[in-house]
Amino acid sequence: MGALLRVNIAQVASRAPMPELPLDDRELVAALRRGDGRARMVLVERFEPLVERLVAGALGIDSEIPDVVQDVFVGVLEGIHNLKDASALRSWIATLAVFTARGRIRRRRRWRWIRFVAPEEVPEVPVSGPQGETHEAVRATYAILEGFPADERLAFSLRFISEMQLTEVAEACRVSLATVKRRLARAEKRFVEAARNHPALQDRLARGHRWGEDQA
Amino acid sequence: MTGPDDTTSPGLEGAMREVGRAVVGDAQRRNLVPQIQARLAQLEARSPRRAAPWAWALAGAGACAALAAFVWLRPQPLSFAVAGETARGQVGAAIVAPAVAPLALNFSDGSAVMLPPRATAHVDALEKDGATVAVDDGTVEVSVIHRARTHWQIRAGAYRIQVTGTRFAAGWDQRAQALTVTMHEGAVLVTGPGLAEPVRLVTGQRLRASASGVSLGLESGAAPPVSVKDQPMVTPPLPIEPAPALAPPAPALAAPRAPAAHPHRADAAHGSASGVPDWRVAAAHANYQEALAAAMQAGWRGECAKLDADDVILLGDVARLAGDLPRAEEAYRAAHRRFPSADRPVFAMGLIAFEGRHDYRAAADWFAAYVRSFPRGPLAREAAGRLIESRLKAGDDAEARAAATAYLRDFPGGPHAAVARRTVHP
Repeated sequence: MGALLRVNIAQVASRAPMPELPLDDRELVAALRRGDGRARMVLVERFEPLVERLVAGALGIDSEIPDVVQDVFVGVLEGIHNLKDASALRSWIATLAVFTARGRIRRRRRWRWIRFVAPEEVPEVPVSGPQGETHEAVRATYAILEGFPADERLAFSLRFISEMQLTEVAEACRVSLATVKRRLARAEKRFVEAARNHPALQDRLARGHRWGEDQA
Repeated sequence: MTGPDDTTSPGLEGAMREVGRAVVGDAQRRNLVPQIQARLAQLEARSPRRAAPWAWALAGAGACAALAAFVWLRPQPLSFAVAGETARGQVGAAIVAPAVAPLALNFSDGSAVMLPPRATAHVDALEKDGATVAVDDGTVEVSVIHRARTHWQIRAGAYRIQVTGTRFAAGWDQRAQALTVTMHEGAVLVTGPGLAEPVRLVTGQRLRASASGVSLGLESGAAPPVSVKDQPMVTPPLPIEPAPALAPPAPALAAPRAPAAHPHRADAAHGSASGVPDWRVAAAHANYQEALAAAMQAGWRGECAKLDADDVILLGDVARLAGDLPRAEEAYRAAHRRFPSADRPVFAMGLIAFEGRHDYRAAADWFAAYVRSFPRGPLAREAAGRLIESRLKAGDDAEARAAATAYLRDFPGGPHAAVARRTVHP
């Protein structure tokens, strides 16, 4: 291969000058409002992991996750002009993610009556992810959550699966801390009771066993 | 940081944390970022005009029609095949090139990714307009066919290379967590650690990036890039599948004089026992000009006449990737003549005729031959679709309708189904 001629990166960049990228959330919001395409890229790069974590935690292993995550970002772009406090961008996006996931859960319930097969008979979407006992535990967890009221399910998944703090859960759900605690208490009680019927969950919950420990 | 609540049941936090890792890990494997970027880009492209009230009713009717059209006509995601395998490739499955030979991933849009020996990669996602390929280790050679809407992306660690139509090499050093991109044609946009902003690379440029620093350079000794206008890129190597004997088509392919070979620059390590550089080694390193020169030094026609099927087809691939269409055709024709059960040369000849020569009647002959001789071959669906396109471009409307009818019968949900329906019911 030919020798590599070092050039100043700024020289090359000067051929196609591009504006500075926004560094903080306020600047990012301002750039998005201007319709800056690169700000859109930054938005996705910066917040996709958060949205993905919240949506996946709420829905589990689900073929609709890509659609829901995309819907969240579409909502962000459509609503960015109405965001009053630009510094609250992150929590606003988390709220959008939570409400979008909740809408998807509720919509599914409305259409549940037209299912031709029972949920446990629905063929699984093949995944290359969790295997064996973990896979069973994931299935059992979301089978239990499927029977929860949507608000309790979200509180539970945000707190325990997506590992948000209680205050973050309250903020994302737009409810008080006390309300979140009540929902979590009910959800946890339901979950622990239901887990007794799922071997993949039962023993570990009863023993206080951490799953990561037996993988070490 | 979350801490356990006083009321939390023993083990619940740990159990749910593991569930969280599993579900988030599954979502991450889908690599959603390119899909999101593409959808947002489409939204941005729409003009935000305010509609008059009466227009809402019209829009509603239009939306219903669009929904129906979407349901019935939506294009299917790309598919891909690993060279030498008959089954379709699977998203997420690890792909490891053998220790002594390169390995090609061939996509249904005509794009290809060539893995040198020992390189590892996997396909992260398949969309209707492109794919995302993750390079896990090694330097892959990427050849993406440009179309009106292309959403191709190469991922290496935390780096992303957004591609339209282009040829380039993308290297990922797993140990150093460093990316190297060498542009052969076209342009790409690179984002990732150490890059404060997306970096646009064009033909002849080379980028090395890691979290600790970035260098951007030019290849001083690089051969002049092949003009896309002058030598349209054609589809890269295709998989082989044993199939019934082929009735040879007789397309009249023009064969202009081959360009002079690129001066040989192979190093001693690339040499064979006879002292003649081994073109396979250069090909494995994605140095196609060198490989072509070495193969010509070894005796191009002799190689085409004596090598086995894989190697003759690889010769065709080398010539094609080096931009030498006449020699590519010569190799593919030799492979077709000597190994009539190989499907790849037939499809490749069709693509050269279609995209390289713009000889659509010849392309139709080759694609028809493929469909006729390899009805269950790994590229049968793509060949059937290309046959419709070839007939249409050649102006053979009646034959195009016949091809479209057959396509809808055999592949009603295929990527050319919409074209086929429009052809049958204009």
